[in-house]
Amino acid sequence: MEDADPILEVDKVTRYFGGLAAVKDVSFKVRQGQIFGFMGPNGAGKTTLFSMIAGALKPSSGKIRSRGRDITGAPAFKLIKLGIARTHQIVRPFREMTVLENVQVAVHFGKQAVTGRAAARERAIEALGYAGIDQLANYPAAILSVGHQKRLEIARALATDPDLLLSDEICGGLTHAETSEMLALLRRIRDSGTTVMYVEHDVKAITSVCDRIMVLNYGRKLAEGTPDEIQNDPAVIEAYLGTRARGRS
Amino acid sequence: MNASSVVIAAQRVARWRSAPLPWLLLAALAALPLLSPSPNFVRLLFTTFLWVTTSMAWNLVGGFAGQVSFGFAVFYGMGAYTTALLMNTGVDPVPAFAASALSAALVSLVVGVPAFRLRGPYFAIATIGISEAVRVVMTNLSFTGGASGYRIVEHRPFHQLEHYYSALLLAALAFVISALIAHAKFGLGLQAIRQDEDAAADLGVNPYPYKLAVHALAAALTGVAGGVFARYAAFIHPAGVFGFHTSVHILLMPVIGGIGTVWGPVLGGFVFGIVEEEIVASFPQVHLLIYGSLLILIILFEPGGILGGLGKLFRRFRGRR
Amino acid sequence: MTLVDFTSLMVSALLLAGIYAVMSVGMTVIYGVMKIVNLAHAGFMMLGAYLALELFERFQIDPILAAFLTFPVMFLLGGAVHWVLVRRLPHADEPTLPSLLLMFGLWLVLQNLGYLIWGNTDRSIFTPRTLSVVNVGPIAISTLRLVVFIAALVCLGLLEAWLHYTWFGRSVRALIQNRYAALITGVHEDRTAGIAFGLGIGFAGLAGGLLGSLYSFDPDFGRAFLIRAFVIIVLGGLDSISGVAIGALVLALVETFSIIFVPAGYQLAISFALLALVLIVLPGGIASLLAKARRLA
Repeated sequence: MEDADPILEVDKVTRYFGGLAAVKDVSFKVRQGQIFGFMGPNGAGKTTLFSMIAGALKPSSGKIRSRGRDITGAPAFKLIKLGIARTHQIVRPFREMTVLENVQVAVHFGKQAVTGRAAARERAIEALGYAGIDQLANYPAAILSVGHQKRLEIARALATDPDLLLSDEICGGLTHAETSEMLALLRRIRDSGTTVMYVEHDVKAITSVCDRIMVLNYGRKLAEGTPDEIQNDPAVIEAYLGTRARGRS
Repeated sequence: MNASSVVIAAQRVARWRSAPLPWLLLAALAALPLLSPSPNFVRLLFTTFLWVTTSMAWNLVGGFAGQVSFGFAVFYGMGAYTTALLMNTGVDPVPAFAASALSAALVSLVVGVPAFRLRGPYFAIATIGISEAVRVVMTNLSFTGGASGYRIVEHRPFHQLEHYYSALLLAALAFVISALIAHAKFGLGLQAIRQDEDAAADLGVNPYPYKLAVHALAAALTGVAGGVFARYAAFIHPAGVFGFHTSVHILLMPVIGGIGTVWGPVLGGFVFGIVEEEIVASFPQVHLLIYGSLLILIILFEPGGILGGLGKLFRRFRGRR
Repeated sequence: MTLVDFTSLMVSALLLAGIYAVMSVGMTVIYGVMKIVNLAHAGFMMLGAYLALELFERFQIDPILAAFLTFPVMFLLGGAVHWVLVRRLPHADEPTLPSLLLMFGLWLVLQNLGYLIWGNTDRSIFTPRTLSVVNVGPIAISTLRLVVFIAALVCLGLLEAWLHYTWFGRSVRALIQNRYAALITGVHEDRTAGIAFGLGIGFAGLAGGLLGSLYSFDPDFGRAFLIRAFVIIVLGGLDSISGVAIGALVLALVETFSIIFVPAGYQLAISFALLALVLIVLPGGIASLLAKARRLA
């Protein structure tokens, strides 16, 4: 049943910049309850693909669906109402608000569109607690460390009550310890019922946390499978290490 | 100390004072006529209330939503002419004021609908465009008397206090709206748009209708202020209510007081309302030169306005203890 | 409308477009490099007009030559304004509330300095050339407008050459096209922005000088032209110099031919209507239309 209407279905999506295809004919499905990752070397088209799913960029062709509903090119504020939220690779807090107010915005305008102030505060504090930064609630968002700002990104996205969380390089710039905490947080998010789509540069991080992985290379889908399958796929190894290319020269 | 911590400090100062202060202020101003002040003083306060109202209205758009408008005279003038025309056909003042609100809000859409669709400087540019275009049209329009102005004939005895209380009531209404919005869903959405429009949209805020709505609300308040003024003045002309200097005054007040706060525009409006006539009387040639210099100095040295400056002092004082 | 009428309207639209382009190109350069909308443009145009007037009245310098002489003066003034005020604004990728308010305050200051120095009487620059006419077949062309048009073309040509063939010109273009890439390749942003700002103000002064020999002016001069300049640069896509030429032509054509249908008093309303129309129909300006055509091809 889930196969018929997956929470995210990307169908032959292509995006040109000028004459260059940054993403070409990529298709995949994300099932409910997974952490689905995509990875690839620099310039593989990860960010372009992510932006198209998150509504920041329109595909040149192809369709994106969620539970059978066409969401191709839908703006981000509409995706939120359909239960699709994102985090940013480069954090974008509302710098002149407190941490709590940042999350309150998300509660007010999220899927549930909570109107009451007290209710919104309560939910916001809950989300902050979930992300582990509730003790910072009344600080100005601008003064948080990068690690805490990344958690704020997560708290804000979760506060919109998403069914699918799109997360872009959430571990970028974090220390080793912070990374493993962040990965644990992603697992908890999945276990509480929110599907996660996760884009990451760091192979170790992505293979340790994902249930299923797709690999992009030169804008095309190279492979898809479980972390084990991916790690043993000769095409993937070649893309990352370039063995055959070296042999040829 | 960076800008955002200053803003938050200023907000805290404002919140700390906010609970009983508006009620005390309102009670004092409402009771003031008991002291039988001079008609001239009452008139000064009357105009100050109108300035305070427009200042708060501008702040809703410029301060909360971050959309700079140079054309609020359009709404002020629109409201003034609407009330004037209706009252001369026998409509009572209150419904005429309501009609002023409506007509100003409608005009706000003429700018907002095309300009808010796009990011960037388009809105600010469009507000300058429409204020010039409207003034030109009003100067040439014959049924409102064109450039020579329009007179309101009210067949009721003139009571200055009636005008005083209507202006006070309007300012109080504007304050309540501004204070309610500031921390509610609507206001948080607007502030999110100001600080990072993309991030706001990524959390579910649809910027376009929000900007349109707050612009229309601000226009309506400004329109009523124009209507109240027209009824008091009994004579209006395009170079006055639609004048460039009217737009300048309206944006200057919140900047002086502190943009994006609840109390800043009130403070700015009061300061401006009380000194404006004095400045114009003392420096008739150069008062706009003074305002322009003031604008430059505030933007470069104290973007938080008076309230931001007070917040800094407050923090320094507390830090020393 | 006879063919002669039509042709002479076309000619006057073309002549108008030349001066409109000079008046708008300075705004485009400043916007392109700094993402600042120069609301004080009108104030600098006014200064240019008065400067030309002073040169003409005190030293009997030909007004067109005087307009050219205002350029270096205004260039230096612009550089100074950038150094003292504009430089202090934080950099942004789109116009910010502080930058808009700062430039607006500057406009107020300039305009009212004008009132202080020159009073509020209407002035004009009158030479024997002002009323003379060249006849080309059945069409009469104002000599002055023709001269102004040629002067405008020369200026635009010089600017274009400067932007393409000098080091500073190229760094200005680099900043317009891609700020980060420009900075990486060693463009000195502060200095280049200062020069671009001076250039924009120089062109404002030049345009003011040229316009001052066509129309009468007072210290509020330039406001109506400011709105036209907005329309033109929005039509041109804000930071495209060739877009300015197209935008100027479009506005000049619309204004010239609208005289047939609309009283002259409502010309500004027409500019605004055009602005609103462009924002709705063609948000990226005319250049975006061309880009779209290229993409489809």
